[in-house]
Amino acid sequence: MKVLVVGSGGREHTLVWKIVQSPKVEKVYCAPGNGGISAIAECVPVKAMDIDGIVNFSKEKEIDMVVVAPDDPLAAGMVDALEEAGIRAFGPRKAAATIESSKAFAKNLMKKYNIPTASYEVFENSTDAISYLQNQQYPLVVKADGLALGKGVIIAQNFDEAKQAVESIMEDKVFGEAGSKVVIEEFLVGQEVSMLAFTDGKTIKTMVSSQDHKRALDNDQGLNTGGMGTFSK
Amino acid sequence: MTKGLIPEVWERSPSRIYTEEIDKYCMEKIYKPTIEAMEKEGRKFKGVLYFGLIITKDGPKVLEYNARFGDPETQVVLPRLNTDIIDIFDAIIDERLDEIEISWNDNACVCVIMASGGYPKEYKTGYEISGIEDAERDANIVVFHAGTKREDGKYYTAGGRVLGVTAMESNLDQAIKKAYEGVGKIKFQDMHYRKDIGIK
Repeated sequence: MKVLVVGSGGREHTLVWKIVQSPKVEKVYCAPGNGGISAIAECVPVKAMDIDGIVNFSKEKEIDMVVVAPDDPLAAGMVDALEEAGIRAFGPRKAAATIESSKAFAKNLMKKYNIPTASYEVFENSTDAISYLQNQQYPLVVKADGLALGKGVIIAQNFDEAKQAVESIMEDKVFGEAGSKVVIEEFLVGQEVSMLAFTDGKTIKTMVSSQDHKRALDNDQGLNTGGMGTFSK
Repeated sequence: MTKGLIPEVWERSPSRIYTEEIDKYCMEKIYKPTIEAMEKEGRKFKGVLYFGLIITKDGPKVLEYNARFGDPETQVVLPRLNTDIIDIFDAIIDERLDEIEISWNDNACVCVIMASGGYPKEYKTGYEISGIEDAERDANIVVFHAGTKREDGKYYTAGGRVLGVTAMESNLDQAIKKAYEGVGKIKFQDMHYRKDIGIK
């Protein structure tokens, strides 16, 4: 079979590396891919957010399965578009990807179904958010509602830092439309663990747990990054 | 790498943080309820769901969900997967995930990101990278590329996070040591990496 992987980072290289090991697979494409991916698959110059481009390429090459890896095309409905065109696609549809693309949606879902999470409030304008911040305990967490390249979460140590975070997200729009709402939530203390799971919507099967290092420098110093390393045991 | 970097005794190993008891609790209180909630909301979730958890004194809580494989978590999770990933993807698309067995190996896996100097702020790209092949000569090391381009058989930096040097060994100490052996063979101008990956 012929498989197309959408994306261009380390995650996509890992996916392509795993997919080429399958005896069922005869050809793997990656759009747009990167240097390392080009050594084991055919990279094609179609951008990860180009939904029409991905649909057209998949039709033209008679792709048997498209694996959509990044958050942006999932949130934009790439899987829905592929399915409508009759192409098998792996990844959540737009309505399901909202669990990531709106933090307010995710928090409200957890509250409604009693899934344990930090207590929180959602605000749609900065005046209400800042007035709420005046009577809170610190530190607390300010989050832009939408996708912000992993940078939309700010831990505020005091009122001034929290106010500044709300203003930069909601007024200066540093994350664009992702900042049309903010979630302000309780700061939790503990060890962080990541769990990935496969699910078909009815059954859920977890993978193995992992932990990551988000800060740029040793001993968790420096700025937050997309991740400087990770381990699994 | 610097000697004495790796503690003799792990203060807290990751397998002890995410215990079987915590796993059971999360399955009943977090994982299953989340997919049931999504179905009830008319938003059936098919794919990979990422749970960012924090283990508090009151038990595990959800920090965030991602609707996809995490990056760089995927780099240490998929090398431990024994099952053909295409069989899993097919089963999910056809909604018969309950019918397949998914098996994992018991190894430890460590991924050290090599980044461009300056990341996550401003950085330069276009520097030639050397030593990738040398590092990958070891069967337990694989170098996953994040921000690279290839021209005339040579690799050049093309992003903030450049490479993820990944090692798999039977235990975490060995995997850390091996990953940094790989890192030591790779060079590009202004490269930056953390020296404490795997230690929490």
